[in-house]
Amino acid sequence: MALWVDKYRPKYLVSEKNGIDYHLAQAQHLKFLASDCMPHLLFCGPSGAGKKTRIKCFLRELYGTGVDKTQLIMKPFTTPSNRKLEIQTVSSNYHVEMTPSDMGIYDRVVVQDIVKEMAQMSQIDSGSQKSFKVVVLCEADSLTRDAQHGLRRTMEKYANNCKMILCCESLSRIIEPLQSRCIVINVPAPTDDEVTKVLRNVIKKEEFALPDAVLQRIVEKAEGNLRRAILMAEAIRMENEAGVSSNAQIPVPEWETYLQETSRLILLKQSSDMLLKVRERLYEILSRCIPPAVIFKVISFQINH
Amino acid sequence: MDDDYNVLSTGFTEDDDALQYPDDDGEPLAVVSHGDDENQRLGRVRSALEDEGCGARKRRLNDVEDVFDEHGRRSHPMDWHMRMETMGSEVAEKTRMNVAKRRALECLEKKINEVSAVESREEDVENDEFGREGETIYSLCEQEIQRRFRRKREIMRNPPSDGSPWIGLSDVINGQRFYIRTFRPENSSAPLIDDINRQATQSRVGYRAFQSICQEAERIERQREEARIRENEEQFTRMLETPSENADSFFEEPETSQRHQKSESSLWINKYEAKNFADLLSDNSVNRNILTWLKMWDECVFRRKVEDLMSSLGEKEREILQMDNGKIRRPHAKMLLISGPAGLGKSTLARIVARQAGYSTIDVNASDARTIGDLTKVLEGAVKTSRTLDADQRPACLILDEIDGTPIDTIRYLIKFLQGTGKKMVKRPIIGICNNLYTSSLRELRSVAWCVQLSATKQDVLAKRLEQICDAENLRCDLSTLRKLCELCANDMRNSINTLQWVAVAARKTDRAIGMSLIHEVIEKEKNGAASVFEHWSSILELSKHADSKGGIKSVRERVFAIEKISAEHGREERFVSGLHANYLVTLPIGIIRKASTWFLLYDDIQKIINTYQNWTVQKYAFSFFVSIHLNIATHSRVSIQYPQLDQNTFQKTKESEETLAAIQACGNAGRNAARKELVMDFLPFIVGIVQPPIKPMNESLYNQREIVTFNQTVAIMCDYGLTYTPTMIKDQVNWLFTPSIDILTMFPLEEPRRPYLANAARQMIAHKITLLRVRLTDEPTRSLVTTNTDKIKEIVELEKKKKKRLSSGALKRLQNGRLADVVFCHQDGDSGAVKKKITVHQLATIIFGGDA
Repeated sequence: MALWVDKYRPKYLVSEKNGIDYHLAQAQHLKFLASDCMPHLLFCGPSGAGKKTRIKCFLRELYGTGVDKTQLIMKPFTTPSNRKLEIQTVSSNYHVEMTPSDMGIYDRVVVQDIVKEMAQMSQIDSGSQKSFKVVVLCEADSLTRDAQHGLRRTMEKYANNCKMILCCESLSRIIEPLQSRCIVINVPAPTDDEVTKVLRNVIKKEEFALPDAVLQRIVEKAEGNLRRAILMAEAIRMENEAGVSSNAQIPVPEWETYLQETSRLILLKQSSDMLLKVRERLYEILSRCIPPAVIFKVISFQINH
Repeated sequence: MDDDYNVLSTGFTEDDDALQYPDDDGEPLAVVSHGDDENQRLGRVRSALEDEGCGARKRRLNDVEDVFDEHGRRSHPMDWHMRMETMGSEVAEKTRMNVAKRRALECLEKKINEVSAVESREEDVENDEFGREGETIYSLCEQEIQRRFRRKREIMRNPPSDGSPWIGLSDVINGQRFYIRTFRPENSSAPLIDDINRQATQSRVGYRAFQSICQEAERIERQREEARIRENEEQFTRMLETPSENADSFFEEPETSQRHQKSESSLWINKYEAKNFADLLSDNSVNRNILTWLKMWDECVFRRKVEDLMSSLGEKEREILQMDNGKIRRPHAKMLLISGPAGLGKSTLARIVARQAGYSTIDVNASDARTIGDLTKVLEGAVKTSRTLDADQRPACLILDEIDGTPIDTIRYLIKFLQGTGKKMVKRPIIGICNNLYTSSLRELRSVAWCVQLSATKQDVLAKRLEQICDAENLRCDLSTLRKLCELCANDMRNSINTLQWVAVAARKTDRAIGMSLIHEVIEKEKNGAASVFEHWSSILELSKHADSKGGIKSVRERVFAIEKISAEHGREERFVSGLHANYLVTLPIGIIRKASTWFLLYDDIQKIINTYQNWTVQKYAFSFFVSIHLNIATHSRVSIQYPQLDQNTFQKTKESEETLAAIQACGNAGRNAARKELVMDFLPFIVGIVQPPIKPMNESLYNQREIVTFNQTVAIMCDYGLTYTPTMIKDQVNWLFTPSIDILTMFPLEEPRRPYLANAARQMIAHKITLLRVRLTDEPTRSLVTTNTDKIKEIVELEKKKKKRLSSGALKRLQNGRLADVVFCHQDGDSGAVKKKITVHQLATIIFGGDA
């Protein structure tokens, strides 16, 4: 009993029952990489395309189900200015997952201290398991350049002990030397057909009826973000206890609606008063931790259409 | 009780009752009222004791009198915690009066007896009846006096609830209303009067004498009472209902102490600091809740029964403030965390409430080193030890001021310390004070402590306090000006009082009345040396600031120089620019605004270069930004300039949002796998909808199959993401809100929001279920734990031990002659795999020693 997104997340790279649903050729390729000596990997693709899912499946392929037993560990580190900070890591016996960019400008220290330290330690019991562990760095594209440069040497020197998996949305913000050290796995967003297929699967397993028209609209609204599509389906199911009618409204996250309203205001009138109002709204959105890049994207899209 | 049960030595420890109520024996100074019968009985007992010259009671009386020094302060080691410090002088006076009264009565009684004796001789009445009568008159006198003392007029905020008659009075100055209890209704004293009348027929003279003296005494008493009321009128206005049992013990006379300090301190902020509980300006209910929390420690600290404190609390507080069920009961939350903006009086509040509850305070603030070692010392010294050798022998209450700057290790240590049990448990209350509750280092502490968020001081209250100060300082200033002053200082108590003092100084020097212009002047000077930042802003945004002597505008060249100078002079550039940014959008055509905003972009670029590459050489171009802004958008009209608050607020809010996200990532099983961005953009907005399906708020067992599924799924999802509902008081109503507050994070002020909303009752049910589920999850931790190498080793060691144990679990003892028949088998307790089965001794031996035995 969990969110559908978590419940129906594929567990294996290639499998009849719980396997990955699309990009099957790529999955085969990943399986091949896992069986052989694993290189550093760089997953890149839009949000909701399934990067994390693939990384998880890949790790499971490498180490077995042990990677599911994760633990939250706060790792302390000291900045050059003697500030004591902590970074949150999720780790199992075999891998460590963290987001160094959470630490803002101190990500360089994280990379230089924590990642390096982890890379230096070799596995104790190398007979029964793989001889290396895996460090997963999420949101690698928001790492500062310094941090990325800090990664270069570590990746080379300790490659035997420790393999990196980087996860990012856009390759353009990863420096060339890092790209060349990794095998880039592109995870494009699923096509509408693929999203539809996955959704139908989920609906069938949950035994609830969703009219085709609604399904179609969900797929359209999701814009290739599978996570959002499944969440939308579940939200609509929970909202309409009795059953979903074909003209049911698709729930949209409020930040998106708010941004749409804002861009409507921008188009409505260009005056200093309106500017103040819009500014206030932008502050409001920023204070809810919506990334600025997303704000720009949505607003410019809305204004141009 | 064990030895480490911490009681202060009182000298009366061998007698528990005496410890609890030292003045419980019908002393007139006891405010607790007894039934008349009991008074009579006690009166008799006491008189008997007095007759015998037994020292016990007299010593007690002396003790009580000795408690007060010349200031009326209570200093006796035994009594200091029993009552508030505030009752002082009044009780002392009462006691003295009572003693005098009793002496007078004794004289009276003697006289009556004498007279009666003479009469009896003359009228030849039976002697034995007389003896009895004398006694009755004595007890009657006692009764009468007792009644008069006890039913003295009391002044209350609410009409008396016991049905006795009262008179209502309104305070003209503050508009408050008080109620004065009058004497007991006639019917209760009617039998007494009858009794007296009956007695009078037997002994007319005695009764008459008694009656006249009583009337006289009553008249004097009334006069004194009235004088006191008039005298204390000022006090009553600030009176509060103390939550202690001493309902009328707060008529305090702080004038002496205040007058004392007036000469000592010249800063008003110290001079007019709140001195007692009644002076506090923060919300009364909050103050009282905090006091209640401190009182809950009484059982642990003072070894005093904690009475039913809960009755005075609201439902929400009752939920939070609970006692744990240890051997020595302490409140559930071992620490109190007060948070609120600067200058609110948080530290004062903590100190005063702690003092009110009978503690001495130990302050640890950011000026002290706060490593783990330092904290250990303080904690050991203040909180753990049972006895303190302090001057006034009060137990200590630790106040950790400015706790948000403490290193995270120290906070962790503190949490561990708070959770200690047994010998290591915390025996004294700890209060933490911080500005921002959502500092990341306090995250874990928040879940352990009871968090109280103080809101800003109400403007009216603050202005009224300022007015009082003005009165005390002989300043003439009207309330509306003071209100404005409060507004300018953002209702910051410390700031406003400080400002008021400097305004007063300035007014005295320049011989001006206190008005808005003077206040503005002082604030500006205070904030920014010679000229204020407001001045600077307006000189950039307004042309009129650059007028020459003839009223014309200066030439561009001159203005550029002037602005260059300003840009070089002002401090805190960031704030200066954000002020410009907040105020430049005056009514101008959009084209000009666009131009101006490109200059802001330039400034942003310059800052970025400086901050990213530490390349300060570009700083010299920053002035061009100010000049261009001025040249582009300066107008002739007046610009109303506001202090930039928006970006500061946004910053604060962002921090809070980040904390919410971090909390979800920290406590949820599923949440930790998702990145922040994914959480805030995809997961949370939908989860808010998903976990609020239309659930009917009714008993779970009444749900049908489908509803149970929905309900359980909701609970499971919330548990996965570490969400729950907690009761929060909003406008006198308990609402069950999301914790962490994801709804605040995801819900925007939309024009026409379409939101699911779950009834409070349903939320409560879900929260309950979640708590149960979490308990169950923590009960079986083995499944979710990661097995590390050390764990494995431990497991193996454990297994080996078990094996050994199994071998030794049944010990076989042979008797000396070595016959197997005399085997004694000791079954070790705790081995539960036993099966009852008939076996021979031979078989038993094979089981234990293996097949070869």
